[in-house]
Amino acid sequence: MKKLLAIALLLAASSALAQNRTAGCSCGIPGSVPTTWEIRHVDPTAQQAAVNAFNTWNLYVDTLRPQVGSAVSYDFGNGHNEILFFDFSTVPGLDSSTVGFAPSLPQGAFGNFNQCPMPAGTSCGIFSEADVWLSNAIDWHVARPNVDDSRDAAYYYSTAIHEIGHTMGLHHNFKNISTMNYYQDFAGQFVSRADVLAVRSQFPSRAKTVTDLATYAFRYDDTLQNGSYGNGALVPATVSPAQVAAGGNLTIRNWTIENLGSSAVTSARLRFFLSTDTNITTSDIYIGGFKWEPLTTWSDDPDGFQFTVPAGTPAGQYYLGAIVGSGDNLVQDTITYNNSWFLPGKITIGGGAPSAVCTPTSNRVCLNSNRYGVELTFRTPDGAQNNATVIKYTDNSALYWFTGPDNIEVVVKVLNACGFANHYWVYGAAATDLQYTLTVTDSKSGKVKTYSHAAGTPATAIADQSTFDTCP
Amino acid sequence: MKRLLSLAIALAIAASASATSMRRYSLEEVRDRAESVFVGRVVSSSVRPVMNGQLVATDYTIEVGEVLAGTVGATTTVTFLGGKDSRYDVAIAGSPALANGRSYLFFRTKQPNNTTVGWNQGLYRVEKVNLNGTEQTVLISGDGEMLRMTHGRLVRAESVTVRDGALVKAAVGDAHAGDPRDGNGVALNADGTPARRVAPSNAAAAEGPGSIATMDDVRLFVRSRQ
Repeated sequence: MKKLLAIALLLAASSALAQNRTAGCSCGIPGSVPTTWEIRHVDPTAQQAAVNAFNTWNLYVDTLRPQVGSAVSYDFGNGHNEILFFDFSTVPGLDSSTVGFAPSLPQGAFGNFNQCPMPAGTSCGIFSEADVWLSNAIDWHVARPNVDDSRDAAYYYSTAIHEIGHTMGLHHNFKNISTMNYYQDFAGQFVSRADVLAVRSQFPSRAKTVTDLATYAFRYDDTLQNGSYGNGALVPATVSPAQVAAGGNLTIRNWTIENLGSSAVTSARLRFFLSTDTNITTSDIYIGGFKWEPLTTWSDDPDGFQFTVPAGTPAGQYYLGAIVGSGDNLVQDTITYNNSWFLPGKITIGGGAPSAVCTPTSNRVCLNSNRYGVELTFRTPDGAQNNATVIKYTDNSALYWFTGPDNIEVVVKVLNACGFANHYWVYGAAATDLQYTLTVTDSKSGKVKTYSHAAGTPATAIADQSTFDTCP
Repeated sequence: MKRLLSLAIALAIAASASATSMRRYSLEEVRDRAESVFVGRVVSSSVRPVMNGQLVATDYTIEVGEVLAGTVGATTTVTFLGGKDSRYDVAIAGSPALANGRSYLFFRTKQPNNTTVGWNQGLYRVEKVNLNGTEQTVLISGDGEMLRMTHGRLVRAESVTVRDGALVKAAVGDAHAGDPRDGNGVALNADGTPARRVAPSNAAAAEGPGSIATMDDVRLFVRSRQ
């Protein structure tokens, strides 16, 4: 009898809900909004992290009311919405490596969580309870790591924001930049435009009127993902060369800008700065950027642009960062956590006249009398980006390995053909099907050329006889 | 008393849905994390309460046909959270549901979880399909991705379904629909002069999709684990 009653309630709930639903990556909705949440973490740092995760969603829709509850064990089915750490190692039927889990009641209210958008005719219901369980076997970190920090795999905000998204009815989203994706966690800490559109659709009466521009140091290319779940689809932003003289050019590519606000931004700006620290501000050295008039949705830059480092830039090492804002004064909005980002590696500004030499590193080889810098990065099947290690073979040629020096993956040579072809020639060949990017920089002219190879494909040979035309 | 009450509520509602975050493993990680790898046919299933009755799990009895790694008896079980029978109806989104009589390739975790690595990532339907008049075995993950051999490596490839003995590419929704990208921004240097667009990098032409992976490919793959 009780079961019949529950089914009847579910049907009634679904019927009422159907009147308000619009298309989106969501199905199901909390029965009571705003929703009260009990935080069951014991550690104050974790408690605050949970509050922050809930409030990240509250920036856009006023729906969540987190409060620190007593440190009791879970009690799924008690009618309370709880976030807690849990031991997954002894749960039959659940892989112990599970990162997070968001159970909700009742059945059917959530539809198929991998479908986005939901197929027409899907019945979505009302949650009477939803919890977020996070694995207690993970060494969670709540401080913001760099984008290449391996601890990202255990990054609290990415997982908590993702699971909380599920409790709001959001489904996985593998076609967009989205915290509801499965991609690397450094990106998952950001509620994206796709996510905001989904929650506004879910909770139209709770949507806030906000101005919010976001920038990410990556671009999403779903044609690059392995299988269908987002890994490999993130293409990190790059800047090259790693060393350039003041007055020389830096090539920047793969940055993204999104408008998460309630309306178009009439004069949006994405500007790049050189900064001696990771706190990127408008007081840093401005080197250029993009403008949109207006920016309605989102944009990115797969090809890249060369920006000129202002003459007179002091020699030194700098982080490259970006800030988004409005107008020529770059007025930043009040949702600040996504207003800027920096790349983890530093670049060197040589100062004075253009430098005629490159500086070798474990990844960069300097060929042709130290004039041409050649660097190689690759991505492992799980999407992690790594520097290849170089072995200089002759003054014109080099070998690269990924996993060990006994396994050469790529051979590159830069030949001086000025005597008969008025060019320097770049040749390369690879014995790998991993994704890699080869960057060749002429330190004399500042010209940079990038050669990319997609994952899972046979590498074609590089035979570039036209790019480097500064002779001698 | 509180525990009994919550148990009663859970059984009364007897239904839940959940969204689970699994780490996305590479195929090599799936292989290396598995305690055993085997092919078997589902012969029966039963649902039981777990976690003090707050959730249920389904034990599938598997008639083992071939063991590729580890020690597995002629009959074994694989367990997935959630399940449905005359007493329970607990749906766990993302938790695989196996079909009686169907054969699967299992990458099974250790006890007591007794499930597949990353759930759908360690579970492959063994399907017979007709390709150009020839019957061939294909392996399709619980997430719908077919295994292929590309450049000598086993990879998860396109999402497919099998319909009337034929492979059909699965339809994928486009969540960007209705939210098109804005145009390119105007790129300017700090002094206001136009920045120069860099020619697109000469990405290698995409390779063909490779061949459909066979059980022999999988055997070699499993045998090569560390």
